[in-house]
Amino acid sequence: MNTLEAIMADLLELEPSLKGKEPQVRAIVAAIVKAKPDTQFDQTFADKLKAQLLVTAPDGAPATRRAWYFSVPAWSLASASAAALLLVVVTQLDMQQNSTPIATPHLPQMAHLARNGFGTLQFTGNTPATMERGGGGEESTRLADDSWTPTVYEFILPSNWMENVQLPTEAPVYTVGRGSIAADISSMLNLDALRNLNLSVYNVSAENSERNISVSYDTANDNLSMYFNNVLYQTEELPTADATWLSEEVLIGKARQYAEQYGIPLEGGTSGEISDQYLVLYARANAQERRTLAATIAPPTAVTVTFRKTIDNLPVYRHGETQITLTPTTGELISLTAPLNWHTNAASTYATLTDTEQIATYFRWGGTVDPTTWYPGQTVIKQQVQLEQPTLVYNYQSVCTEQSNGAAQCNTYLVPSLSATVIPTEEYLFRNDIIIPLSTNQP
Amino acid sequence: MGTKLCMTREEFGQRYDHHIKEIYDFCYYRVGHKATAEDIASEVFFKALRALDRFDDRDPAAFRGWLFTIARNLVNDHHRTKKPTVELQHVFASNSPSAERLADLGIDTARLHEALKELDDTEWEIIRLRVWDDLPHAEIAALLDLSEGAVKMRYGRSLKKLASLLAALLLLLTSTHTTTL
Repeated sequence: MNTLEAIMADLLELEPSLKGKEPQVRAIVAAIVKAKPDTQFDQTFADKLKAQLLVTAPDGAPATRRAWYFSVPAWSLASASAAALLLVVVTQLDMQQNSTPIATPHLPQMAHLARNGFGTLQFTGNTPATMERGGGGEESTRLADDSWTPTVYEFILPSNWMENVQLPTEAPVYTVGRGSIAADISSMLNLDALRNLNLSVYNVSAENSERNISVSYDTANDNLSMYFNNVLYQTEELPTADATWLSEEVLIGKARQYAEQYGIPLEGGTSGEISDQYLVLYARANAQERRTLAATIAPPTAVTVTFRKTIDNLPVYRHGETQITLTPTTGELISLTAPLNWHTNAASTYATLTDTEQIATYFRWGGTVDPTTWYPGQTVIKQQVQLEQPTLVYNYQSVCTEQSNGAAQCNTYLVPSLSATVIPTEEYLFRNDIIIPLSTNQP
Repeated sequence: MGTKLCMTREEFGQRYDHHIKEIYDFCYYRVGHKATAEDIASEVFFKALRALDRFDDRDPAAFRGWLFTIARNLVNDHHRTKKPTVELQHVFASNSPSAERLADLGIDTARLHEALKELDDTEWEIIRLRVWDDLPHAEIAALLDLSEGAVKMRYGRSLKKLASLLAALLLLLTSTHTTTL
């Protein structure tokens, strides 16, 4: 018996006086049954939501939830007394306009651990890092969930990981051999391309000091660049369709060649930034042959974010004397897709957003902040402020840990964020940008 | 360490496909605004995903009921600050297909609406859950935090009230319309 008939039967039983008026009653009940509003269900919405959910969802059950979040690399905390080779594979992402947007506000999840160029990885389960404070200027205002922590995976490489690396047979376009894990991460992040593979060699001396030379292969231009402490020293062309450049020995040899050429000592000195790139895979072999691989979040080439026009009463963490309190309202939903263009020069790496009226912005090297920690001893003042139309930005963040030799070891990543300028008022005279990270460490 | 999840990503996707429309519809019926309904439906599934490790029951019906419970809570949260936008008059709006069908039978939708307004919110909600959302009594009970027996009893009362309202309405119609309905 269908719903209409069931209700009809119930009604006629409950109210005998309706008998004889079945056509009218049926019409009314049918109207109620059938007059459900047209909900305007949008399959496109459903598909997009599903894509976002599946990006967020762990892959495979049973699964360890912890594995889908990020943690600080243990090696950054480990003793540096043992001589070690730190192999840093850096990839930079394609700047194509037609990339697949990353799902936000949730961070992408690491997945397909068994399908990478290194063999099966074992997640170490290290605890999340805390962020270091520093910097200032126009990026000195931050907003983030209290639980927000940097996004870093740490994995243990299998002992035979080199055997598992599949080198390409020709100059790669999107995916390159040892960078295949990066490509895999890229696919997880819905990124459609990888363009650069950078290999950096760190030589850590027994005295716990280090210098680094990074050798960067640019697949777009088929050239090899050498950086010393992130400063470009030399670029040379390499032959295409030649996979030998990918061998570790060749690149290390190149690094040594450059070091000798420029008189750069490979031992002694101070530790430097790992990289100014953003998809970073770290691998290290220490004296115990324990290799660790970690990856920081990669920047997508475009991002779609939906936010409300009116944003208030969200906790805003700001360096300085004032906490700005905003109140969320149900303003008009805005969906913004912004392609990213990445630029690198000797001094910095930065991104710009284009093809949108809400063109934003820039990222600068340096300046780490802690969005969840107040400066001690400062007064908290709650104020209402008015914001200008927010724009979508990628906000540079980094996490640093102190090594046993006192040097800072930093991981870098970008956080899709909204940036809105505080409109100055008589009550609030400081013109600041509010940076609102859209990613948290928890989906 | 860690918590075992109760389903794979693929399984979650399959269940999403199965339930997204009815969850969205449920939200739309109660907020009457497409974007808001999409917003709430999205939050339903993200909440479900976040809490998946706490959901151990693989029973599809239980999962569905769980989604509806999340949806109802979110709708209620929404209504705490926003007046419900779906009223009975929307159902029987003068330009709706239903109104046209009723008009063909000589039934004045305005009067029908007046009659149905005699149903209180709970009675209307129970009828709506049963008739529009097609939820069984057990799921309605879970959703409203009532026993299944209580839901059946309230549903019966709601129908009885509806029956008496219809009887009065039809009596009125009979007295005002000379045509055979």
